[in-house]
Amino acid sequence: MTRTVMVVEDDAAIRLVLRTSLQDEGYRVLEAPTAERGLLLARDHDPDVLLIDLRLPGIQGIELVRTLRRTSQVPIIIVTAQADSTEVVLGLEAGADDYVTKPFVAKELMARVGTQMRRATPLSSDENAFGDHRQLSCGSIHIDLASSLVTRDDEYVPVSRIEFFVLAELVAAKGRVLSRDYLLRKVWGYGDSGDGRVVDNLIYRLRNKVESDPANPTHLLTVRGFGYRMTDE
Amino acid sequence: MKTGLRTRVAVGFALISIAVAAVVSIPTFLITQFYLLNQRERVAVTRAVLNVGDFVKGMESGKTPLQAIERIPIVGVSRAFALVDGVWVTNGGPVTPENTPPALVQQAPSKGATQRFAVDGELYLGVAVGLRNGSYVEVFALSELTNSLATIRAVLAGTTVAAAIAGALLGFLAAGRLLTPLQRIATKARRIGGGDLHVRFAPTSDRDLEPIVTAFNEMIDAVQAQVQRERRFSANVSHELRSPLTAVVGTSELLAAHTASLPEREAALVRVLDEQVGRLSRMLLDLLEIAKITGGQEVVVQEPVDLRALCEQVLTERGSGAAISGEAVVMSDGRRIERILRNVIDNACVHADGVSAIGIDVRDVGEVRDVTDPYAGTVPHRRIAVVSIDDNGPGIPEAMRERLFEPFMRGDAASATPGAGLGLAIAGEQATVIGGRIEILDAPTGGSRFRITLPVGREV
Repeated sequence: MTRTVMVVEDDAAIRLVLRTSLQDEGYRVLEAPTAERGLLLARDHDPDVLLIDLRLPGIQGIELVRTLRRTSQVPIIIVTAQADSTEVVLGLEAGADDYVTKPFVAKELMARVGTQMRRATPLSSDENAFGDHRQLSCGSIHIDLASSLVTRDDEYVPVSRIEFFVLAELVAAKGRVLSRDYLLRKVWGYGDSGDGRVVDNLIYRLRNKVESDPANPTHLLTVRGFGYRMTDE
Repeated sequence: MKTGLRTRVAVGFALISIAVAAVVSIPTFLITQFYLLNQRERVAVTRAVLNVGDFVKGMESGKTPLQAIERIPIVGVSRAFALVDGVWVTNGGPVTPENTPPALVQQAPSKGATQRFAVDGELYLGVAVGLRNGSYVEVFALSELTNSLATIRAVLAGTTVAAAIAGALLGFLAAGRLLTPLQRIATKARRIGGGDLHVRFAPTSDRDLEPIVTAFNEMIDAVQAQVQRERRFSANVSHELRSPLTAVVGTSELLAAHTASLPEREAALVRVLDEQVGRLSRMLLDLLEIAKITGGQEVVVQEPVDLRALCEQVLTERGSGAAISGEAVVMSDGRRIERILRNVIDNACVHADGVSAIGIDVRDVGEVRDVTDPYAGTVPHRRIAVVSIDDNGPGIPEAMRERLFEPFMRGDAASATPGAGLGLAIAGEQATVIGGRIEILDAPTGGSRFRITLPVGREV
């Protein structure tokens, strides 16, 4: 089965580079020069991974991420010109799962896309990351690994694919602290140079979904300067 | 350095006070002196004329000149003597005809003449009255009068000195008061120098200060506008450069990945192209980074950073097995510290045959300098973390050290090695952003020691 990557990028030259690189990896590529076009294409073709440039004419990339996230849990990688700018954090808050900065190295970008692609795949066909478990739970939060469903008090919680894996890792390690670097390696597939802000923003998003009072979390706790810990106490 | 404004104003005020005091004191003294002497003279002449009458009457009644002169009463230190028929007679005292001015005695008119003269440092007033057959002289000591005048002189001089001191003090205080707004301006100017461009002076109703305040505020407005223009420019350049750079880097990468399907001649060209594009890209990104840091638009994060873990990570990435001793956790910006460590360690790997050892150390600086001296100044207590990265290189000459942190500056032997000489410049700038610094010393093992000093920040 051919996997599809959609590229939303206004610069034709960069689109060409991305298309060629992605096709070399064996992906089908959908291209959109504007956010509006991207939105339509995403609805019609249901891509497996999205690559979105944050600086787009018309509707900005962040707005596109936000709009897509309302209905879709598809993995989204944002492309930004500056890693230090607030753009990255805004994009992650809007629902992006990872980011790359321009100018990106194709090999690295393909690694990012590859990880997201694996996360997009149902768990049953993946390596069994969680041992023999079929289900994980922590307090009122339940995770069904086979169906990739998260429920809280028997209510369905919509989570993105990456959010699902972060939550599953934390619940599986219930009580233990997982460092940001560990999560970056395990879930995002980074070597040593991942950006901790990606984890922080994902946890922030997760708290909004699984905590009854996200500002004062009782399950998903921060261990300052180190990482995160899940508790059911 | 030139004398301070306060001192100059104080000296000026003191000189004016002295001048004013002198203009008042000197005439006062002279008038008083003239008046007192004049009065004393008139009294003396009156007395001498009375006494000469008694003396003449005494002689007419048959007394000898000596008997007659001895009948003249001695009042205080006044003395009388007379020359009668060429013979001197006197009623005693230190003043004798010999030390009396001869002119006074010889030219004594019948209605009397006066002259002041000094004997043994004492001032006297002589009154001479001519006689039918000689002269009569009476001498009055002026010591009382001179004492009074000395007292008045002392009082006036004291007043002058007091006026000078008061003037100096007044000048000092007035200058200080004038300098206060200037010092406020200096304080704000320092803050602006430190990068805070939101500093402004509140509008003032003081007519004299208003132009200064307005000029100052307008100046910062202008500076701020200029800085913002430059920042916008720098941000636009950065953003606009990145898109074509991305396309070029990507294209050349794709070409390089397919050299196998190209003829050897083209393949070689593509490899050179890819290499140089990579080099250009790295250099541009480094330059953009320096421009961004020096533009002061950096957001600095405060988070606990484990220096030992970070050093280990960077060493592992570079495949170095150098030993790390010590450990420290600082509240700082982890990404920046990582950048600093990575660049310094890269520098050691490329130019100095790798890292030999890393030492991490936490120490206190700025404690009481001398506990035995209660007046010794203390500076705020500060904890710093020191990361010493030693390399296997030949060491760096002292004259080169400072300059290695300038962009595009490379050591003499470095021209054959890769890199544009931006790594240490970035490390240095990043260190400054988080309140630290980097120095180059001699490592005890013979190479160079890059000593990175970082504030520990709030205790974790």
